[in-house]
Amino acid sequence: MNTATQLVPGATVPEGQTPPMVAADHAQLLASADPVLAANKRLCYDMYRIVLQGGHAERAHEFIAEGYIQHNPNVVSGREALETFIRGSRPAREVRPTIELPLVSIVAERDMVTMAFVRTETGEDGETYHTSWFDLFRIEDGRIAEHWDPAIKSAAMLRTDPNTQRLD
Amino acid sequence: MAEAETLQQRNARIVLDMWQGVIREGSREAVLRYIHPDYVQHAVNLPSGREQLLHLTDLIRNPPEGFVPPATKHLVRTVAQDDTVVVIWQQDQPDPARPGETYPGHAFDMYRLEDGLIVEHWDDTRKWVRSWAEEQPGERP
Repeated sequence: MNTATQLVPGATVPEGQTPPMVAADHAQLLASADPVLAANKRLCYDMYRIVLQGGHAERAHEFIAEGYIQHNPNVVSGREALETFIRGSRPAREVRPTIELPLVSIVAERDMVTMAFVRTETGEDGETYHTSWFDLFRIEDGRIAEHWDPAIKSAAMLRTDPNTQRLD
Repeated sequence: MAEAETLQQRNARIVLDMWQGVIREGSREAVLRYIHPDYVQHAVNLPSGREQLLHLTDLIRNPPEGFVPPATKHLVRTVAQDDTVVVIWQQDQPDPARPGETYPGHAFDMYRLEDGLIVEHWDDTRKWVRSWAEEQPGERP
């Protein structure tokens, strides 16, 4: 059985370069035969859509446990610290029905959910290129209780709006 | 008797065995055993193609001067579903505020498998000035 999520080009690139690929169908990414895994994926998807993309810090409590453990080196643990980070880095926007950032995959197993995104970076030569960004979430009692990502220490990250990572 | 391995356990085992053989040991045999001939690469410092990983193992065994080797990563956990395995690692990063010191960060690799072979790869690495494809193995001392 081929369960691969169909990937489609997420942006146009100069001839000869490989375009960044994004998931064509978010409903397919969210589906799971296991109702717990499907609910965990939906929880993380909606948190990303409403809190991180939409900038709605006041709704973080719907998705994130108060004692949230944060492994990102720029933000301390706790839901309150996350709310402060959201308010300090992006405006609240209209909540959209889907994640509009370049989502590649959602993978769930046991109490864990990972999400992968295309990430645009600038090289030392000044040229932009595309790499990948990941988030790992642990879910406990219907809330996100722990988070890991590949962020490196950077003061700029505390002011960075992820909506700058939209393609095209 | 151990319980039968699930698809997720099997795929995670293949990925971690590949990592040990290809990245830690620089084994060409491990590339041929675990990597699909039509390997698609989304990581930015190597083009697609299994032959590129064979080239990387040559560099790992005989590093040229100035070669940036694959980062040393310590397994945190795997998350597997259907044909996909995500690996989360602990990786020490240079501390921008304390020159010469490091702090524990995290790194991710994602693999898609087909017929028991790894056919596609993504990771979070940044682009270096020289890609691995441009490097040639060093002289044996």
